[in-house]
Amino acid sequence: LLLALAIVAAHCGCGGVAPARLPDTPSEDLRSRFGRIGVTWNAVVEPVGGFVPARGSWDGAGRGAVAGMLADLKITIGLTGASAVAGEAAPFLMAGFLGLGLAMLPVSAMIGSIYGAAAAPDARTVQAAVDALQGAVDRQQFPRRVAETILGRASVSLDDRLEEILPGTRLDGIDTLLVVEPARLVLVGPYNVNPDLQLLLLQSASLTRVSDHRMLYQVTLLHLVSAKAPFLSWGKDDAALLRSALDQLSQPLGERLLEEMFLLHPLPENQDWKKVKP
Amino acid sequence: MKIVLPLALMLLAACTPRISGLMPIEPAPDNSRIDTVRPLLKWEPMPEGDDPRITELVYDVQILNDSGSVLVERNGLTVCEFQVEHPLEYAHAYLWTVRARFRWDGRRRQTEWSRLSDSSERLAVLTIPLPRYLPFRTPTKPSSQ
Repeated sequence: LLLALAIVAAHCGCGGVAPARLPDTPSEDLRSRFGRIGVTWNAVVEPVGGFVPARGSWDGAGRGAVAGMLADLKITIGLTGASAVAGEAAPFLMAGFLGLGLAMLPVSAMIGSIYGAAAAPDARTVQAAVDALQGAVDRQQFPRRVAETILGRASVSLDDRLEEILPGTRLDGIDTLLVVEPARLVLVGPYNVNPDLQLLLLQSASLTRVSDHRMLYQVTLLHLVSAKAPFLSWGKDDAALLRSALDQLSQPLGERLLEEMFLLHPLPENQDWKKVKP
Repeated sequence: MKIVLPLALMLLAACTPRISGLMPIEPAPDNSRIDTVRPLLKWEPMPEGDDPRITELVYDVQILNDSGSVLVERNGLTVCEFQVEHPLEYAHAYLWTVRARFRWDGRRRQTEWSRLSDSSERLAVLTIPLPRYLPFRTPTKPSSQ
């Protein structure tokens, strides 16, 4: 998960802002001043980010060479480290493994490039998968579905009435606006020619005071989908795997956002069980 | 000795379960093996339960199997314990959790479901299908003689 966060942070160019910690829920005092609440969503569609496999054999050969050298270095470091326990022979073994590993680098690069050239999907197939993924995200209107979940759940579990506000419409009489931001979707996985990837979803939502546009609260939830598949499989059948993941996520995400913003009453910080045992 | 003692204390602290939400009493999260298939679940009362702004305070309890399906659900309890009515299966692992529901200045509120927590902070990770609720394990069936 940390690796995924690091990848996302690097990918987004937002190092250090990975949403590792939930903010405290809004205080009861703040909640009492929400007034009339509108719920809307940001209709902008963000591209699916993250890893894209090598496009064609030349790209595959290049990536394969790098992946081969990385694998070689990993094995070399492992063997060199392990030989440290060999007693008096340790320095010789370590030097031997280090020398052998470095000497094998060009060979590993060669093997990797041959594998990469053979294993890389052709550029057109990759582009078709990219387009399928983007088209599926366009059609899913995920932020809208999350907003609709929030509105639906609010009608049965909240005393405050939330009102649907279509994007771009006037905010007459609304005191606080809940905005569901576009979901950030990132395919993450190890550096390789065509690795298995997991979908990481980051969903933000905020509460803003309409009178002065002051943000009152913002939360970002993160979910790493357990399914692992190569990039082309994520785009296969009109991105069926991606659509299925999003179908399963809109409901729990909407419910969780509603709870965080309006329902959960904060308790003292997490406690060590033994300290408070009677 | 100077090094061993702090290390042992650190190890002990790392092994102590941390809890989010209401605190369980029984089954204990660090000794979850119980001796009956009809356990009595107990938990600490809502910390601010005597605050005059809190009214209509009740508790919801769930028992789940290890794949996350809710097997027993009891909502609206007014006491901090729940006696399982129908026997659970012998030698099975279960999870349980509890939350408080109440009105705060007349508006509906709830605590999060009790769960084990890796960190002192609430993480922004949406866990599906279920978070790490409180585990317990029923005893093996006594052999009939």
